Amino acid sequence: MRPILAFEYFKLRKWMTTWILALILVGLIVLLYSVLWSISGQERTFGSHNQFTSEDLRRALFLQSAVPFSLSIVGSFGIILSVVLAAGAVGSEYSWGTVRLVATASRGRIRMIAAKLAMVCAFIAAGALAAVIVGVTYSAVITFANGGANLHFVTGSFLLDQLESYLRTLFVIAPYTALAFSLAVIGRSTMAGIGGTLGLILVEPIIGALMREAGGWWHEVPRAFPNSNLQIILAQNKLPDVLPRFGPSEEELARRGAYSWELAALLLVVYTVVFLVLALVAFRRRDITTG
Amino acid sequence: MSESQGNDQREILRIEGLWKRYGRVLAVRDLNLNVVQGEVFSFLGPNGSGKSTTVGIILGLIRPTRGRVLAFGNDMTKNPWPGLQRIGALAESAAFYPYLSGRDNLQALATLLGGIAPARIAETLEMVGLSQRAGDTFRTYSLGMKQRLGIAAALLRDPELVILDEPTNGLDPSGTAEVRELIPSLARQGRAVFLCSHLLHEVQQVSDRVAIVKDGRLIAQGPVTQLLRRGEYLRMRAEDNEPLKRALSAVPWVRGVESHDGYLRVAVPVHRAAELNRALSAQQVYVSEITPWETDLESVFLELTGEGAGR
Repeated sequence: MRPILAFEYFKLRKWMTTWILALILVGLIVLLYSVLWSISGQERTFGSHNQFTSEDLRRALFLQSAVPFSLSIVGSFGIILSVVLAAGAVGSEYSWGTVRLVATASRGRIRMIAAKLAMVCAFIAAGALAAVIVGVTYSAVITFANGGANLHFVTGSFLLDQLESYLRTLFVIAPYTALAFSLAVIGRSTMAGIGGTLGLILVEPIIGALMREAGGWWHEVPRAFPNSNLQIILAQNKLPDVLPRFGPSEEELARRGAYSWELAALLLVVYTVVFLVLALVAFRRRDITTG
Repeated sequence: MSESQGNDQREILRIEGLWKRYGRVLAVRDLNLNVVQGEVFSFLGPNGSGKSTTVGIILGLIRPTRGRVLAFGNDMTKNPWPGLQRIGALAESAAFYPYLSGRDNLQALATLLGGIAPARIAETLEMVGLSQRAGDTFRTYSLGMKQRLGIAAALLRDPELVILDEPTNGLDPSGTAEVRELIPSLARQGRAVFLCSHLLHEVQQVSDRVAIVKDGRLIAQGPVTQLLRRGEYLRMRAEDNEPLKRALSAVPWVRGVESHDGYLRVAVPVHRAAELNRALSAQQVYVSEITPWETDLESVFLELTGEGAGR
């Protein structure tokens, strides 16, 4: 397995798209921190009930919240970038015709596709980590520049909480990444993976809202949608209320009658496994012809 | 070319009763052939005759509907990997990662294959004349350079069976000549070469044996000399071919006479030319020209496949 993992690593590392996607993610974090920092300099109030001051916002940008805030960006925009990476990594092999080259040089199709998936996941994890590092660095600059250099909050449980937030974020990225990967394999193209997955991400809330309006048993269906459940997991990441949240709060989820986080996690695992099994079965059974 | 099917030569590839159906289309029908060590075996056919499908099946990329392919005794339709380790292929067009250089593409492939010394990459690049441009990205390569890199990749693992599907596609005349020299040299090194090409003149020069397929069906197979039917026909002409034709019909051991562009193609072994001439003279028929009938692979191919109809 090592040679094919090394091969996949070599290709993804040298692929410009990988670096462009990473740059977009890091750029988003820098941009959001810069904008919020700029807003916090104004004397005004925030929130639905004007319950937050500029000082609240400035403190929220300090180091204590850097990890969950960076991860909230990864868990929202990062999903789209992960979808592009996963679909592109598979679909490009078909469009370049290199799928034949790799298939004749690999010790089996399952190994080939599994190695690709593993390396895509590794790059997504590394990208999320890079995003966190950039967010923490930017936040550190803000913190120290404002005399907030107090690290008393850094305890064992705090660090464990940050690690859990990071793993939760990676976990919620998995189903859509798996779907993009699967659709790219089945459709033998990058566009099938990106188009299908982003289409679902876009349509899911609209269809969900309509179903909830319809009432009856229709009302229950959106609770099982991937997006509904990943929001439940993401809501576990503790984020100060003054900071923008790219998804519903725990209160909003409770009002909607969302599943428990355990059930949500189980559903996301089921989605991920189903999508990956579809990809593996399709790739194993089908003829490999020109893309 | 020497006759390559000696008894001491090991069978490298055997295709048995191979069928491939795509929906309602039969791409390959009951194909049977074998390739032995040290020979150049050419696989010819018009577009859509099932050549690329057959290559895909040999490489384990396409699953056959029926039949099997044995490479080095290993069933490629069940577990292709043991066989693939001993095969190098340029299938259809050369496909590589466009953002990687030629050298990096080979490096990536070497990493995937494992056990390939770095010096082998430089060696294969040198062999195909790409050393000077090895650092350039693949996307900047001309079609001919891409093909050269494809051949280099096929030779990277020092394979015992080399499959080349249209290797001279896009090459300039000097590149074509280099590949024409390279192919028999590979066979001389003890490798088997399975060649698909539409350049029949090239094929004729480098091949030991040829198989011709049409609509997925094998229509001819054998040594090039046998397919060209060298030594089996005489080319004759007289001032008036009609009396000559009648006289030839009267000779009992003449197997057939056909008119071709002002000449008669007479089915008589070349070594009996003098004997035939005497027989005609006895009938007071005198020929103005009598030579062995030289044909080429292209003519045979067009005749067998019917591709020349209407020309």
